[in-house]
Amino acid sequence: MEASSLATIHKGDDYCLDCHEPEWDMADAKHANVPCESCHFLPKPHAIATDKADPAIKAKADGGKYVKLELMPIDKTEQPCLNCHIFLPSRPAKFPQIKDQAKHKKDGWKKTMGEVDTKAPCGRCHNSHFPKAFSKGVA
Amino acid sequence: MKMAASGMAGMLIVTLIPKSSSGQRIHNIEEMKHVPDWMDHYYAYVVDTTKCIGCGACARACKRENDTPDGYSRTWVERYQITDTGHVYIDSPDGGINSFPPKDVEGNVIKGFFVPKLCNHCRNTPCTQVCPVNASYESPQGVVLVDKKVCIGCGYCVQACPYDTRYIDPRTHTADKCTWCYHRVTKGLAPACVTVCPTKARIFGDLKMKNSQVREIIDNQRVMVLKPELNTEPYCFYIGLDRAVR
Amino acid sequence: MIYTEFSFPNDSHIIWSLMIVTYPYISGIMAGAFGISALYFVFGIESLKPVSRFSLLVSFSFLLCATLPLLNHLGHPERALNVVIVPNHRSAIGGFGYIYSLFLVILAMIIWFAYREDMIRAAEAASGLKKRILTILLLWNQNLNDDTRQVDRQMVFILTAIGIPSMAVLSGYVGFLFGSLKSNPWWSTPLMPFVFFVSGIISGLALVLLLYLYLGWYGYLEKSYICLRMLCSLLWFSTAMYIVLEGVELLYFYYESSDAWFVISTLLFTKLKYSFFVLQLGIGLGVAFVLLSAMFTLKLEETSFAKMGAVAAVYLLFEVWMMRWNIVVGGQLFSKSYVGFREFHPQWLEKEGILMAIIFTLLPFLVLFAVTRFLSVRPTTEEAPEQITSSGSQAGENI
Repeated sequence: MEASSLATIHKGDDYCLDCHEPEWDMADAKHANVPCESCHFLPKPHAIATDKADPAIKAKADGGKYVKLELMPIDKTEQPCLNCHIFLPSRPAKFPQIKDQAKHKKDGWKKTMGEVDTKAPCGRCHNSHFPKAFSKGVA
Repeated sequence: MKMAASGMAGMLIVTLIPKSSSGQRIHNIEEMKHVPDWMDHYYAYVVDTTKCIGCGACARACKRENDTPDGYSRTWVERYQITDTGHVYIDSPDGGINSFPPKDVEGNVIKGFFVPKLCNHCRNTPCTQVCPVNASYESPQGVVLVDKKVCIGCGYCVQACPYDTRYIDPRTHTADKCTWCYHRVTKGLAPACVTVCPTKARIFGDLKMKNSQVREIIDNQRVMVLKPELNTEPYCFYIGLDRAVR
Repeated sequence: MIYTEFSFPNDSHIIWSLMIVTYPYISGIMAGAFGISALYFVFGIESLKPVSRFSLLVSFSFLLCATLPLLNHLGHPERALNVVIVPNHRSAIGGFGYIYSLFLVILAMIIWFAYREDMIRAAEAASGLKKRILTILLLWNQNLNDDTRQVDRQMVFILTAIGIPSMAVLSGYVGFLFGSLKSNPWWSTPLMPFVFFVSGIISGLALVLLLYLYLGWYGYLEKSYICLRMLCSLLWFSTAMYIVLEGVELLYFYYESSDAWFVISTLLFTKLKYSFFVLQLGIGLGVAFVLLSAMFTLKLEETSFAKMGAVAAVYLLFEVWMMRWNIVVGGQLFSKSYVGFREFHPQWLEKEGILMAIIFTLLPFLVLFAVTRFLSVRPTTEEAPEQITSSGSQAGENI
């Protein structure tokens, strides 16, 4: 059946974690259950199994199972965060949402820094993999 | 072979429950191609509308995975906002593919939710019944598919579907619709929309597996289907379906 | 609950447009014309003799052109034969290939037997290519005597009798196709096959009436006031039946007030207000029915009768086309969410646009012209057109 022989595009978390687990062991984080491909995606393969790679690229494998082909683009704007976290009355009440962005930033800063910068992007205080404010990975 | 067999069962479990407590890891999708008894399943889909946050990741993933044409959606999310004046506001901008911007409505929203929709893969399919050339058919696993090499593009199936999940692909001039990512499920993976859902509002599984999550939900929780009065016997079950849902 | 407008995302395009309006229009005329012949050949209504054979040709020409709008609509017309090679026996369209082919063969055979004597005479009088074609068509059998005439008549009778249910299925299945879809409340009614069948009869009767008046005027058909009266009374009867069917359908929708009544009533009173109530029912049906009733109530001269009949026929042809439009396109003007609507604006130069619809509607007339040139026996002397008299038929040639 042709329907079953199409190429699979999304690879699933295990594919990503094969190389990235040490960096992104998010077991304790609030985003532990968010699949990698919920936010990250590349239309072409990001990496290829070493034994299937071109000899020219194989050299870069460094003994690993996969060789990197492309850099995964990372959207550092607020949009990916707002896609899920902006307040919408239709979202479940218990889901963390932000009603007023300016107020959220004012309160957040006051708690920790004492100054206010309402134009700061989400990434100033939150690392998307460890979203609790000022946990590991935030400058 | 043994590893592949247990791997496949493990794969389904892996995609359905959080990573931190996962069992066996499958390292290579290529390994899954030779899964034994790939026909011996009976799939079902569960949508938990109490968990959907309307992020649109499912719609984006479906579009990437299946290369759907612009202007059509194989799966989409609808936003419902019910106000204290008794008005129901429904919208689905581009099928929800770019999430949902805040929308002003008259009155206060007292009840709101998101409803993901997709092909229901009915047992008593109206679309397969009316296809003149048998291009629309059901696989043994309960997945309703379209054979694009036979389809003549008459559009009868599109008219017959009460859920509006079918469309004529303007590029191939044939009927098209959600296939539950058949090319993924036959390799032991979950459909793309299920794979990327951040809140596990979309659940897919095999009813023949004794401890599958869909089996547990359908057997123990209160589930509903869309338009049950039409007797299409959909195999997409909804938790938390409100009377306002079209 | 008051819903604001919402259409499902895939509901943005109307997929059954002008071609699917044109096809039942053509097949309806085909059915109605055949019905006239059937009334004469099977049921022996003598007053229809002058148009009996001509109606066969009208039916045949429209039948030949019936599949063209469908082929134009298909996404893959080159695979159209899949409908007969791998049909789905549960699908209405799946049966189309066989029903159509069956009726085509039956009608061709009826015409062959009905025109056999004329073809033999024409073959004797012709020469060259025409003679050869006619000889082949006659299957090299040019016997002509009382026995063969008897056989011809019997075969026409039997074949037409078989043709009646075949024609009924061919024009009624379109209605079944729409009426059996539970997904669309505007279409979903058991009355739909009858609505399509009766309106097909109306359009066939109306067209044959107009053609009869035209050809009778020029002497190609025998002028008979009785025939005209019979055609008009059949037209009145079919129109009355149609009014009843349409009225009952609307009454049930309104009275049952089921879940889809909101979308149907909004559809009728907003989107289809003009095309349904004004054009189809008011102008098309209303004017024609009043005219037809007047024709039989008042004492009229024959020319006035004929003129009123012609006007009524034109209005009815328009009405039947509007009916196809209101059902096919009307049923797609609302979303399956039952709370959303959309517009439809056909374009002139689209693949399924207005120009193509006009071409496909006029094509059967071209075919009819070609067929009558071939099968007709031209008058040996040109006779001046005369007034229609009620005292017997004119000595014109029978087409």
